[in-house]
Amino acid sequence: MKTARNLLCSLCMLVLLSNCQSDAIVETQQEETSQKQSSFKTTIISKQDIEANEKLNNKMNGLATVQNDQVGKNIHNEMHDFTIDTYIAKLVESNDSDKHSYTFPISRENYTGSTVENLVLSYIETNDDYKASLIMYHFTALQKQQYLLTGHVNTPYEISHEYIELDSSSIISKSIQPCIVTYQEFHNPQNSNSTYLHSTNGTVQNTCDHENDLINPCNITIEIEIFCPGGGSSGTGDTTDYNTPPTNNQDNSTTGGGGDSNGTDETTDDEADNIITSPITREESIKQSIEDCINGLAEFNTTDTTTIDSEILEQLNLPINLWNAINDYLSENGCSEELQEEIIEFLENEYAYPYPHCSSFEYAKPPNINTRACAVTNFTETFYTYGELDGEVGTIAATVHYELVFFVMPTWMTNGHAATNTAIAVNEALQKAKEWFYINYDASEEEIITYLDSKLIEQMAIFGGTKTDIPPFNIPSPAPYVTSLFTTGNCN
Amino acid sequence: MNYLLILILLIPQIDMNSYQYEVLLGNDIEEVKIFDADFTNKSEDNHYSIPLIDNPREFFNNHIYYISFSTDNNQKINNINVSLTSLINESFYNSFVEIYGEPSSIMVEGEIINSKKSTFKKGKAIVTKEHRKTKQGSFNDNPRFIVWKKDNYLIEVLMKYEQGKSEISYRKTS
Repeated sequence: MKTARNLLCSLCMLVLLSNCQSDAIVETQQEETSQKQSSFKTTIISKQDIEANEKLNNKMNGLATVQNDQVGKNIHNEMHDFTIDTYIAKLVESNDSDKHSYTFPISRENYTGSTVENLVLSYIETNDDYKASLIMYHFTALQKQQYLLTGHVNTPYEISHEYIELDSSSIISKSIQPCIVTYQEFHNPQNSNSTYLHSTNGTVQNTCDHENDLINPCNITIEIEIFCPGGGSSGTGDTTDYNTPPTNNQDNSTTGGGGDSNGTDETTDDEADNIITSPITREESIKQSIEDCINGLAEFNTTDTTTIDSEILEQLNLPINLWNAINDYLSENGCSEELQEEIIEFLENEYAYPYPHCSSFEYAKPPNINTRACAVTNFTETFYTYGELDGEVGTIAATVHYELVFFVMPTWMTNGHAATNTAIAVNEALQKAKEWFYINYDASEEEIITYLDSKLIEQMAIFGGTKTDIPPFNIPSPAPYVTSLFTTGNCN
Repeated sequence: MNYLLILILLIPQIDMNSYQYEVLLGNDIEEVKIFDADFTNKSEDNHYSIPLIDNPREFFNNHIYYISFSTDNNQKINNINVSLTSLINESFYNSFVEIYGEPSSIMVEGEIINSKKSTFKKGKAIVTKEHRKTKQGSFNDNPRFIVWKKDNYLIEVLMKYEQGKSEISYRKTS
């Protein structure tokens, strides 16, 4: 594996070099401006590290409008209607000063879009304190997918910024920001001391930079500058001032001083605030939590026999609600070895079948019944072929019709995901039966149904489910089988 | 295994709208580099698939929602199945004729030679098997199969009028 990586790395470097050489003059100029000694260091830190920083912890608590008694649970802020995931954070530090920031993923209930939202707590050196910002990365679905896969995005996207009030005793409100926000994205390849300027204000600046290095994922650092023309800094040195969001009122349309503030009452016109951060997604946080559960240290006097390849978790692209469900399932059941095995099997299968499907299988799990199942009526499929049969050349068609059939999936899956996986299983079974019948068109009706049955059971088993003819429980309204099943949207 | 996938993202995009899948026949399944496919894990039954349900891909202005590959025991592709979201139209057919020439056979179904229907208690299932005569016709005669036989492969277009979909099979013949 390592050899393959090295070979691929060499190949990628060749591609990189050839790209660079295609426009040598431009490239040389870019090199001067785009590559420099790394100014930042990015580290993933755990909840324990966060809790160890008292000042930071106080600030985080200031954001909690709903307190959660459970240790390790997230912070919900009703005013902004978001939840801060505190399982992990990204610590971005400047190599040249004490400037640093902590970045946390944010989630909103029922949000299914691709924008990534982060809470950034930036250290204010002059005040020895933190101020909070909401940073939004407006990724497209494809960009988010690329970010989750590779750790960076190589096409333009926008970033927006808002200040957040940290003081819990005052009304928390979003800023109405009249200021100009500009930003630069730097790439810092892991195991490298160099930083590359990748893009400015969402526009990719350099085609010859780190982004093609597939082997060493890079850390992204975003440097955001908030500039308020004509506005003055209210940098009084008082923490509250730093935290007061700017408004449309010109007198208050300040950047808050940031690291530039001198901690006095002086007003500085046209002063820019500066934030360093690095994007982090909820997926990263949840996956880390799942990995810690599965690959973490076993309890005293027990043996941990269950582990999962980290790459599966890194590369697997599941809907966020499913990651959540898995994480909750594990944590709510004490992360037992038995459940870990169940989840590992599921994730490994998902890894092999990485494309979620849509379906119209209507799953349900009644209260007090530990089964998730659905019933489908008029499940019909026709297989076609052509050839010679009984001395006559022609087409041969076999139609299989199940009046009523039941599918069962693991209880921990959501109804939507169970439906999606059933569609995958049914589709695969039908495809296999189709190929089988193409060759075995002289098969009897019994051989045909036996084969299809076996394939349905086999494919459902991949997801931990089954197909059965016996109702798992009373399902009063079986759903009709829809022939356009495989062209509809996502059910997750 | 995922470096291949990422490489695919980086290489210039091939025009998949008019892609000739037969070029993949005989190749090692692990070398398939379309639609982010990654077949480096060996399948137990030599069957590999790329579901594209969430994101059907254009193909001669129709759309593919599923592709499957069958291989021999040496992992060489001997069959490719492409499922389309709708029936192919005359424009699609003409595009194929431009590329592959006139089809070898256009099978239009005729009278039933034999039909059997069996009912099974298990699952209350019914299986009907029907054998029909065919005659040669044109695309406008609503054929069931259109076949191009080439030197080393054949292409079969199946028209599933009942479902409003077409399927295309590329099969290696030698």
